[in-house]
Amino acid sequence: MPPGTPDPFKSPAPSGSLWGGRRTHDWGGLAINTSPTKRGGWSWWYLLFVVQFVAVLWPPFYNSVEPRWIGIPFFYWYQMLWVVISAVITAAIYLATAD
Amino acid sequence: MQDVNWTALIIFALLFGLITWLGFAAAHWRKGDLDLLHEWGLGGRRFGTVVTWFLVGGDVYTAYTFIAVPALAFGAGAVAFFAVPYTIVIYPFLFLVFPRLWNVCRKHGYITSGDFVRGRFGNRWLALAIAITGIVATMPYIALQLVGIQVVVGALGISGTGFAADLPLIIAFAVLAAFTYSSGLRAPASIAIVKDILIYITAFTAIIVIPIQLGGFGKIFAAVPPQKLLLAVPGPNTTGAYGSYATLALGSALALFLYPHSLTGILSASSSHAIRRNAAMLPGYSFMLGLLALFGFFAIAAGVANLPQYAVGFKQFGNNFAVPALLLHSFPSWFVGIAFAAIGIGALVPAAIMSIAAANLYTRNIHREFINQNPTDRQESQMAKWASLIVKLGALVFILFVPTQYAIQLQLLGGIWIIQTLPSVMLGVYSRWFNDWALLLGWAAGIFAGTAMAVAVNLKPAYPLALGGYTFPGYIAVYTVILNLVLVVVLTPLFNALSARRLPVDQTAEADYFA
Repeated sequence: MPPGTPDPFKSPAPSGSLWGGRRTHDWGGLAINTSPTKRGGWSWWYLLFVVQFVAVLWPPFYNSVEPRWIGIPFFYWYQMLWVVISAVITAAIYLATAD
Repeated sequence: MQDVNWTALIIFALLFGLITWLGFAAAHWRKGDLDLLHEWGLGGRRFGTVVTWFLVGGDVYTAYTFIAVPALAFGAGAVAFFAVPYTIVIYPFLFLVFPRLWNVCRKHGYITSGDFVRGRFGNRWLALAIAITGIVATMPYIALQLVGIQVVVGALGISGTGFAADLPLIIAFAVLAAFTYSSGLRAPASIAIVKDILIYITAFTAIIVIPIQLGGFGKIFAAVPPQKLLLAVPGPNTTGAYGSYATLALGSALALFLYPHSLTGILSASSSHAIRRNAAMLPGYSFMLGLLALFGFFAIAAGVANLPQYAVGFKQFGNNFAVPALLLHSFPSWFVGIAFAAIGIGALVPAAIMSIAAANLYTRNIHREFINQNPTDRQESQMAKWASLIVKLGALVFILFVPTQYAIQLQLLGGIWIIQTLPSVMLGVYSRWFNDWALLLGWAAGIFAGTAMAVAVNLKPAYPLALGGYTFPGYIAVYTVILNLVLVVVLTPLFNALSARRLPVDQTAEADYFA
């Protein structure tokens, strides 16, 4: 292994106090870091992802032919549109949660 | 051999020659000691945002995707479009889970999901289960890429039975094996760039030219039989096609990044930021996948199924011949050569990455764990190189001698199996709460139930779950991973109480998951 890289196969030591100086909440072993400024922590922005889930995973919303756009049935252009929208949402979340 | 399309074949061969050279030259790209496993198997973890985009795209959008998704649209209609919500739903997972995984793997030198699970949960049997699942799920996928090459080679006119017809495939395999052996992950990474350029050229040209040829989208969709144009509206007391469509999208999305080759693409990135940036940029591929599904409809509208010159191809390859036939029908030979090269190269890239990923798993989590505990760097990377060769050879033998239908069925099972690693890998990056033996039992239950359900419906993806008078047809992978999770959650407190261990064994620290 390259020098400095820890060997993943040495006997693992139990982890002691790991939390450092960050704000954390410990819910019976399920520790979540809530400081939004540290990359990887929770941010309320992430809830925006739910929007794209609901929009495309509920077929009754879009299982129809009308209204068409340049001859393409709604079922198809709606889903393609959501590719674009979800890219925008993801980009927005990335920028909002970047340090 | 008299039906060979020589112009197309020459261009095809030239482009293949280019990427062969590139695959070997790649060994010198971002130079590193290829006797080190992480250099051979992860490209030294130095690929920036753009290269990662190509590489991960190369994982996700494979030759099989380009042939099979349109084939499904051609045959079954609207249901093929599940590929679009599938890709829309992937990116939040990529964004939320995988940067954490990248950070912890970098910190601890983990190369595979098996390494991570071993370090996080301290259980070599759980890690073994993860590794075996990964290897077994990947093998049919590699085989199906080779099918993609078979289809375009057949479409070029190289037909017939016996050795002569198999020769192009064997040559392609030999080329693939050679440059993967010498350059490792750098080979498919560099070739992915060429592949994507060719794919984008083909797709965007086709999406503009073919509708004009066919008289517009209105005419194209009018040619699709009405019952295939939309999802069938569910009858009473069932979620019908709606349930299977949505769960197919969701389950495929959950499973995708659990496949070893996806992880390899991600772990080879130079930073977790590159991964997040990609989550915003990869949708470019999704859009193209939607276009590809539409190609199936273009093929219907162009009437290629009824044209005599394609009868042989359809007989041999079934609906998989739809896209090659469409391209042959719509474009001059020289462009067909480019398009087929795009598909063929689009098979080699994921096949290379998949074989490297499977080799990494074997080397780290089976060979090193159980056979030779202290390999030198050279021994380790040599082992991986050989393993990757054997994996590819196995796939080749499979495709040459076993009917394609079996590969497709195994691939379906593979998707159901790989999703069972979700609790350990995807949830494991967030919490150590789960008990390792509970995870193993959950995994086993998911595998067993998933296989049983798939066999019960004759190896189709959806199982009609019957609850209280209602039927919920849904993707087996989704149902079984829920079963898996429920079992894990129920058994964890139980096993923890029974276990003598006071502290959970965990090599990783909370801080390791952050940049």
